[in-house]
Amino acid sequence: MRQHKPIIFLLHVALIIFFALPAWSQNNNSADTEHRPSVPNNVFTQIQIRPIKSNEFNTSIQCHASGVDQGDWQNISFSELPQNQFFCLRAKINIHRETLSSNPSLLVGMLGSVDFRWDYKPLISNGSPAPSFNDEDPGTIKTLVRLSDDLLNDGEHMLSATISTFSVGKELDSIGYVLAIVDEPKLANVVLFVSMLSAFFIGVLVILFVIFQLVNWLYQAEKSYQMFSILCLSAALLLSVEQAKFWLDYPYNWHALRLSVIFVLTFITSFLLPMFYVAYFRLKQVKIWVTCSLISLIIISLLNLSYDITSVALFFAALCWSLIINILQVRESGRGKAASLFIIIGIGFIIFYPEYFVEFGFAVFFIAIVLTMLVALIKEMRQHKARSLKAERIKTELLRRNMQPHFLMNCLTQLMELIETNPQDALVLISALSQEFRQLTQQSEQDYVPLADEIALCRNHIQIMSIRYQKDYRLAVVGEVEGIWIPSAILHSLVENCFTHNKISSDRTFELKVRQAGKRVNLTLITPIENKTNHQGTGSGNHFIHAKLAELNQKQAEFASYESDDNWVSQISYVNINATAN
Amino acid sequence: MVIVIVEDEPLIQQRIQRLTAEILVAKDPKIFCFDDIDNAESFLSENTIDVLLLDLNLMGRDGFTLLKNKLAAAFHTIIISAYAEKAIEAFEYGVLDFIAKPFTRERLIQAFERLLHNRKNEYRSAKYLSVKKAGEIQLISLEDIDYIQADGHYTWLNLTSTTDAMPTKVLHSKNIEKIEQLLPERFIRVHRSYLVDMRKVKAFKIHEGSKYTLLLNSGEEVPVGRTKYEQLKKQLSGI
Repeated sequence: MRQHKPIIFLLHVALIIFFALPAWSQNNNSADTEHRPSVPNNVFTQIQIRPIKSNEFNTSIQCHASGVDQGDWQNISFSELPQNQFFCLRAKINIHRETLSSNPSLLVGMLGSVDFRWDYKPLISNGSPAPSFNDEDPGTIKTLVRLSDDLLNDGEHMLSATISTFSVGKELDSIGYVLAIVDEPKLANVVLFVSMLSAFFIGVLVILFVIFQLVNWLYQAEKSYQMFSILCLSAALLLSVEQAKFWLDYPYNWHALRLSVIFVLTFITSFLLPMFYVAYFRLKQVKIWVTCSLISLIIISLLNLSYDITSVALFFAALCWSLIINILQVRESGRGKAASLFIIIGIGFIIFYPEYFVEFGFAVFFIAIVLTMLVALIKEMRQHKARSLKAERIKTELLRRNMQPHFLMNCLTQLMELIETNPQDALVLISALSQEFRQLTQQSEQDYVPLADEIALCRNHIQIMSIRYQKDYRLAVVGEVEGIWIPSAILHSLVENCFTHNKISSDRTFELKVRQAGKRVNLTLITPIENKTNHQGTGSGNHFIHAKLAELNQKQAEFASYESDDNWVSQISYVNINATAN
Repeated sequence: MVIVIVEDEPLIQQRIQRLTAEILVAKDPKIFCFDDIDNAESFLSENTIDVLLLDLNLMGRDGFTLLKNKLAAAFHTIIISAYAEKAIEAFEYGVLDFIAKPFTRERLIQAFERLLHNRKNEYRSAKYLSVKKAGEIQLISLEDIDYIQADGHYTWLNLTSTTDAMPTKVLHSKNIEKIEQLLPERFIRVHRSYLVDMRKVKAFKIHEGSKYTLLLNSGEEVPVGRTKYEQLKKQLSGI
């Protein structure tokens, strides 16, 4: 993986530049505006509103007349449009034809129904404004109308409108977003570019979702794959809904709903991001992490901030939790360095340019984080491959262990002795040995065997060892064995391990406790220990069991072993599989 | 004759004991069995024995450490092991014989004959001698030994001194007959009390009164026994 480090580094540099550029160009623009003349051309100035009095309803509404009482008008900026009101709006613009683009259009982005007039003549309606919620026909969020040349002679013009804003549905910070004269083809290009970019990101995320679902179901079931996949899906949905304003001209009364959906998706994504890392690093304290991150997200949601700030804060919290998890992991195992660095960059970005983060930074950032995850997951897959290769190797090794020259030669020496002194026992040993070899050869070919068969194999091995050491070892089984299947050779390898690490100098009994809880099987094997100095539970036998469980796709299998007085206790827990389906 | 058997599997232990008792019946064998080397340790430190028949798991590093420990002792060690592939290495460290399992009565007879008739170990491939110094086992490479001198039940290994730090003489617990059994052909018993590495000999010197000595590269002189003279002369002409 070392060779990927430069690539990851370059990616980070590229992203920093990408994030920094818009901010930088923004600064330049604001510097420009300061040098502009005091009466700007082609920009709406003096935006004024006036509530429509109820006595006007019956007669004609005089929003567009010039002779209305000036005292009623109130200066505002376009972002301060009032909610749940029926009112008039007027704005002046000083047209300077030469500086105007070739295809000038009026672009209005706001939440409301509106009826526009240009120089007192009807221009366009978007929905129909009305004095009450019930009568209003909601317009869409975007109004775009071409201003013909005869409307645009040099000099001052007046845009007036009748507006009603009863259908927003929720108290928002602002319902007026844009009021400007723009170049229509240019606008279309920008919209196209943004839509393509977001479609690209959404596509990537959806494909990742599908790929990791397939990986999870068809290749190897793994919680982290599942989490990653769902994370991609929720991010794709979030991005689609977030970017919908660019390509979907929906009625403005849907806007609050869209914001709620964004909020929910942001919440889910923010929750899934740290949870992915929890699953990926296989952290033990899942409940603690879930509770901590959920509580922090819920607190942020309840703070009653604006939608945009809430989104940023949610992501901020998600990144912080992810960072904590990654840094703890770096300290513990050295993994997660790239991800940590990356999350820090993301957090820095949120702190310095929160407004860009919600708009677009989020998408780029998310794709980049996804890349580090992808690298991590590919590494993981490679480990999986190595592990299953190892399982294969261990399987043959297990088979060979009992056919090892050393084992065989010792047995043959004993047979020589028995033939000369006690031929009857020699026959017993020969049968037991042949039985063990036959059964091991058969079982090593199978993934699962009936527990009863595995117990028979263990008993056979214990019998061989009893003859070898001239002792009376036994295996006692407690619990119902019927209908339980077990990954082959697991118990045998534990029993075998006990004899390789131990010299058991008295007649001892091995004990197997079988417990079935629903689909889960819990096995406890108690084997005797005599010389405690010898290591147990770290040898190839344990590797074999871990590798075997992983290879068989046993998702929630557990295997632990520990010393207890003069016994070695091994606990295995796995999902029972009806091997007839195998 | 005192024989110690170390073997953890009872049936095999029984086999070694049974066959040894039968083979050595004329020698009035006293056989002591232990099921591992730790249990045998105190017995070995307190008693004089003639041979140790040792089953050692030589796969781990511990096996060889234990083996080197035993090889520094006065008695001979015969390994009986299933790990036949370790035989060569065991011989290099100076075991008298290596019996691979499974073994027959005849193979055991052969090993005891080698022991009793001071017959040389047929591989003669020892490369090291283990010595115990201040409780620590030290391996002396045969390359460093010029000659070996008997001193009662012990022997002195006279070394080529390369540095001042290295002692020129090291005491070994085995007697000169036992050591001779293990050494390669180039070591010749030139005198009742001397074993010399012929590659380290510079000249053959004849003194007054039919006294002969070997002048070594180191400048030291080693006496040559009267009976050994003819054999040695033949040998030297070949060099």
